[in-house]
Amino acid sequence: MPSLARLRIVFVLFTTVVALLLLGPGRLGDRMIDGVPRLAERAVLTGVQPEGSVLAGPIVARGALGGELGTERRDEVTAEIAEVVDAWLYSTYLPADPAQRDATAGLTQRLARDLRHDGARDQSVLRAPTLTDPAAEIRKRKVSVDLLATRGAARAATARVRLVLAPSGTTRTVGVRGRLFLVIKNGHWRIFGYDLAKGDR
Amino acid sequence: MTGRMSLPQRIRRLSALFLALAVVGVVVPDSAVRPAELTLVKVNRAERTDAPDMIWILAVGSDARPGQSMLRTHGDALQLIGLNTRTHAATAIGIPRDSWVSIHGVGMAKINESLVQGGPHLMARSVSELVGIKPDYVMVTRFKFFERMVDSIGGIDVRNPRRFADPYLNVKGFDSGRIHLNGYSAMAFSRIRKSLPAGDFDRSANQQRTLRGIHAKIRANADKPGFIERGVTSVLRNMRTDLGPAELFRLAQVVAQVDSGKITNCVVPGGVGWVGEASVVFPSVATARRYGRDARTDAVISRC
Repeated sequence: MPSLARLRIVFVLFTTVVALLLLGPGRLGDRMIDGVPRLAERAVLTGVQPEGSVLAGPIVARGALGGELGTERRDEVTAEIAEVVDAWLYSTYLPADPAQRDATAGLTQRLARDLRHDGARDQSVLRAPTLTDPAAEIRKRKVSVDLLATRGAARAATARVRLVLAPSGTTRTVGVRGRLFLVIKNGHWRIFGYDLAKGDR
Repeated sequence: MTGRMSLPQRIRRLSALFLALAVVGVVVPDSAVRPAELTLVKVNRAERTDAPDMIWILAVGSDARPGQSMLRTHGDALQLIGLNTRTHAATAIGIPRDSWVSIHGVGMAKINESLVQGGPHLMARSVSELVGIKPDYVMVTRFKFFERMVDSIGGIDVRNPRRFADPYLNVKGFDSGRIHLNGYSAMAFSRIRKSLPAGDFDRSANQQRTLRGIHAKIRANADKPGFIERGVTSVLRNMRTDLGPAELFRLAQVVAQVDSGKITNCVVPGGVGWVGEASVVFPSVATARRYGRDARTDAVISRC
């Protein structure tokens, strides 16, 4: 008859295997979007979300709906898309060190490749002024999501974004507004295009 | 022989009716039996390795009358539209419908005979052999749907280079300059040929003006919440297609993103003549191929 110690070891191993199977690398990977921590993870990593800091989440709003989708599922999808869009906003505009900025988080492979290699394209809209203070004031950060749904499932979306940043030490603000276009690829929402404008105020 | 049906006869007739309805329900997507007023077919599934950013759509206006299959009648308007998904440039190559060409499996005939003989795939092949560019998609629409679509976006504005009229389609005529067209007017503007100095060539150019007007309206409204989403939903209700909603959405956004200042368009030139009793156009194949070479990778034709 096996000893109690051996039974305990077997039990621990068993529960560990079950936990890993349930969580899996996919679930662990869900804490990040292309290397950008999700909103919840950013809070965990730093522990503090002062109002107006880069770690505070965007205002998320339901937009228009083409087709039919239940309210609960619509809100779930809206939140999923807002996460992807906010990860892109975060990684594109917010890191203080320009070398850390990466405007490819959450993009389709094609769009990410285009951004990395197309030097001829005007990408000034993707460049933000250097923010010396990582906790620079965010005056506005809003994402509203229009959805296209067929047969009870969301198929595509337009995320309308509004971002206003106030670099520290100035009264100037920088605004970015426009639309990001998304579809589902391999179970994940991906940005395949955008139409954005940037301006100083 | 007249008389009342027996019960077994009634059952047989009803069964046949239910069977027919069931077959139709299976064949026609989304169960509702609706007339095909707009069809979008993907004809090229291979990736364009030489021009990965390009999408080519062959737009065909069908002259199908009520009750006729839209995909087996003559194409009255033929426009090969190229879209550059990165630079947002676009081009339209107009092909006169009476162009006398060699049609695969058919022989020499007017190019719009391709749709009758082989549907969208043969139509795409014939255009590809003339211009040197294989379309990715073929879109075929009836006049009535086209009219309703233009009306649904509030009509369009076009620049008309010359005043013209037609005793059947528009007796009062179209003024020169910037004019507003409702659905019927846009259809007439795109169809009238005989009162135009260069006939089929001028008609093709007017079709391109109409396309520009439609695009301008779409672009002006594209940033309104839900405009594209609701538009795609509406199109899906009226369209037969092998594309999924996500692909349609991407196409719609590509179209909406086209920069009006980056649109170039030309009509394949040629001579007019007769083959037997048929009035035909002898297209300049060399020019058609030049347009194709010019626009293949960037949707820009440098000169017509």
